[in-house]
Amino acid sequence: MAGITFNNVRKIYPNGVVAVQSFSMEIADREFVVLVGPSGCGKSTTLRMIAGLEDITDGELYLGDRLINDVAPKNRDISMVFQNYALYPHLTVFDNIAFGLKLRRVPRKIIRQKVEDVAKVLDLGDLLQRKPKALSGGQRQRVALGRAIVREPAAFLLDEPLSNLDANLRTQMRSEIKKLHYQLGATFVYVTHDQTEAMTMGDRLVVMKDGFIQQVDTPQNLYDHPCNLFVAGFIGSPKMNTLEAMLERRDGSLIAVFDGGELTIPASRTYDGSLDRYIGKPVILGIRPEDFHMESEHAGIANSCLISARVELSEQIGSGVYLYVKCGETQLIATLPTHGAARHGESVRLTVDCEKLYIFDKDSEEIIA
Amino acid sequence: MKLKEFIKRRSVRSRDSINGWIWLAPSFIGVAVFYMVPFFVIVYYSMIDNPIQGNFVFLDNFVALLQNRAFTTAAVNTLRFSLIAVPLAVILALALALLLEARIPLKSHFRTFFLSPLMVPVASIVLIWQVLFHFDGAINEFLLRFGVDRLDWLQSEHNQLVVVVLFLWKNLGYNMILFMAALSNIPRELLEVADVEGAGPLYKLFAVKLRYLSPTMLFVTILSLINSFKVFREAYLLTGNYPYGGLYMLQHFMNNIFRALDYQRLASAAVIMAVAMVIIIAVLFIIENRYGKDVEG
Repeated sequence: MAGITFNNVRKIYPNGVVAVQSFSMEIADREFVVLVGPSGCGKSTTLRMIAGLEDITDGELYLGDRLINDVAPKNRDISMVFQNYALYPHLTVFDNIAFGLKLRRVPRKIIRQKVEDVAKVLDLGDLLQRKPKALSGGQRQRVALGRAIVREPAAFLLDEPLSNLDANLRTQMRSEIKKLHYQLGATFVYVTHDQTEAMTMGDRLVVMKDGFIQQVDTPQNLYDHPCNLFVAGFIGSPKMNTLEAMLERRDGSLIAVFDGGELTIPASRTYDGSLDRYIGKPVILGIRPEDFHMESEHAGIANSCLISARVELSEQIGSGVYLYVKCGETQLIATLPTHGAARHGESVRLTVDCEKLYIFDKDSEEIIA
Repeated sequence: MKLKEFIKRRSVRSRDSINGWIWLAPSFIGVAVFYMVPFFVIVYYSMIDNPIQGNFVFLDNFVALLQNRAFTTAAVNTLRFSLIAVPLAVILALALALLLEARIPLKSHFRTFFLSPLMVPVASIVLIWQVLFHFDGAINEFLLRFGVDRLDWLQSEHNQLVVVVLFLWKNLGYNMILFMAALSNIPRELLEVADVEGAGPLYKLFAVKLRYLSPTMLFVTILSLINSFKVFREAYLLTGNYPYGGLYMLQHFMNNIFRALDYQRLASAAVIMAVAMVIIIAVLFIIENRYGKDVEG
């Protein structure tokens, strides 16, 4: 087992496209790190550089203490699981799992033992003599996982392994992969564009955009303390409401005025004076949908502000309701409890927990409070 | 009520069936007139004594044909030519495709270069070949510099070699393109898994790539086989009706007996050739079915 260290790693394709820029971070031994971001952000390229399937243009990449920039994939002691399983259609499940061991000329008896052990862990015992086309999507993905774990490599790389599965199976496989991580105690690097998958699985997440790391942190920290507008919008479902507002000083308080209402910034958020230079200037406000409450239920929230809005749509999700409202010309989404939620066309008065308000610089999109 | 409904349903069904046949008719008539009817006419001709009397003689024509030295020579020559030229056309085209798949400079130029013979008409190719392999031709001039004696290529034991080279020159490019298309269809992840799991280039070639290429290999082999039977065109233009030794092909034989209006022998030879082709292609299909069934679709 080993950690992975990136030192200013860069990837530029021959056609000049910059896929990954100045990527520096340390993945600890036995850590489960998730690379997350939209399509084309460079997450898969980063993973493929660890695997050795893409050359590194610049920088250094270490597996443990070993510099692996120029080490062939087969000598890196890693294994990889692909999105579309990448199983050999002409081989049985047994032969697919045993593929790497056979290539390494492991004695037959040991191969049989190891494959059977892995099959037991992944519940594939009855399927060993089947060919991939006779398996379901979930079973195929388990075979691909089996092929990866049977070699007991130093690190596992998983490239969107659940994307081809349906929603139910994805949730099930998500927990199976997480359990596998606990059982194996190995380093996992996992790539996904699905923030729910990332939040639920990773010890730490690396949020990427346009080849740059935006923020590296635990899921909870990313949710609570996003460093910029992109991370704030990407992490959390439904995504954070963002609205343009003007900061004003009124009777000693700082007010954010937006089209359709105004919010008072609590003194606890303004005491260091970091917002003073934004007075009279436009900023971006961020409000998590779950920080809205119906006016009748706001009791107990210390610094709350009231806004009036008209309901445009409500979506039942069982445990609650997503309320799409329009406040002036500003579209907002609020997550509210089912009971007492308003219907289409009704006017509602919502309170916002202003302690949980996010304020971003309009130009740099960095968080300022 | 039920009877009425039954009759109504039946009439709809028969109307559908008539409509179906009307739509099928143009293709069916085309295939029948140009393929099926001529084939059965040939089979009929191969089993009668002559077109005027039309007495049924069953296999007599075939027995006579198999005892004919001209036919057996032509058959052996054709078989030998196919056995040499077809594997070469498949293996060399595959090797070229694999080579051009690798990261090499001037890749697209090479591709165009190997495809260019397809654009040249056979008659002009033959003309160039005659110049090259003439007794006073370029090849002999070249070999002379290395102390090799002049050779009348087309009138020697090596004349089949000349046509094999011509056949390869003409067909390699097309086969290569087919292989290149098939290579680009191999799922990239399967090769990457092999890389990560520790496979070398030879293992990847034999265990992954060739597996995925097997349907294309079958197609290219059948295509080359058919083309090798058609090499008569080149051989005829190079050497005429009665070439020396190894170039006397089955189609020379057929061409000559057609000129003599010997329908019976011509028809028998055509039937034997068709049966041989069907057997060879069936064997190829069986092999491919065993080897490549898992990688298709």
